[in-house]
Amino acid sequence: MTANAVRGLILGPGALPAGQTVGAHVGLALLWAAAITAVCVPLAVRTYRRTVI
Amino acid sequence: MNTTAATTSAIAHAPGLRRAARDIVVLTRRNLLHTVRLPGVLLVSSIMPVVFIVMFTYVFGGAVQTALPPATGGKYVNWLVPGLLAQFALFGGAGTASGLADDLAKGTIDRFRSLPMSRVAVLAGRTFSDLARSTGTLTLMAGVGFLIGFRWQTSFLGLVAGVAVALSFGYAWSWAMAVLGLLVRTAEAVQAAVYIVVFPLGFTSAVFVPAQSMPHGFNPSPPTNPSP
Repeated sequence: MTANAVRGLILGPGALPAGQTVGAHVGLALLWAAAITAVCVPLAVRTYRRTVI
Repeated sequence: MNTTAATTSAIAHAPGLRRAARDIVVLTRRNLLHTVRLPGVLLVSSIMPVVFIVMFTYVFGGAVQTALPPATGGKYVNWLVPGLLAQFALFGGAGTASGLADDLAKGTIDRFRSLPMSRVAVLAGRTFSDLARSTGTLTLMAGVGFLIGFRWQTSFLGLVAGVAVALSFGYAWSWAMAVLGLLVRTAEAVQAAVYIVVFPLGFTSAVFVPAQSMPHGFNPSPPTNPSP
């Protein structure tokens, strides 16, 4: 998914599966990154507190 | 002497956010110095992505060529390099797990705890330094790819944007790997745990071959798949 976004940006829309746009792939990749960060940052801080203190 | 003391107390009494930011900078720098001062490790870890690019280009290149879309200009290296950029951004994020586990095992984190510093800085400093390292790795990979025939088909800006997207993805995973490193704690076990997560994610994706040929469920094209 991120690979497709990166590829779209570097090779152009022709490198993506037919009918898909570079913008959609990039948006999706960034959305996933944001979602993973949003979940994992609090989780990591909590785990750190528990592990260390 | 006096200035040092003044700076130290200024840091200790600076308001929360500014202090956290300073602590993050200090720890990022510390982790990066760690990398630079172990040139052996640095060398070995930069060889791996280069080996991946060269090996896959020449091993898979001939066989996969016919399945590639025309936008690659008929060259597998053009297909492979963007994919590997995404993959190694993920691998770079995985380094967070072993870095944290290492610091835990060696008591470095116990030492940090005894200092008047922000708690979040230990995690943020680690993820930032891994991000910086990934930036270096990805730049190196693009350079090596260029040497063996990789050319962007859009523009240089497209390449930069692509690297940025890959890095943001790797940075997000860096935090997930931080959780893993803190839970698993020993460096050896972390290696194994990281592979369990990273390899399925890395290979059930369009990194190496166009994903349309994969069976439903493995195909990473649907938006529900967080693979690189």
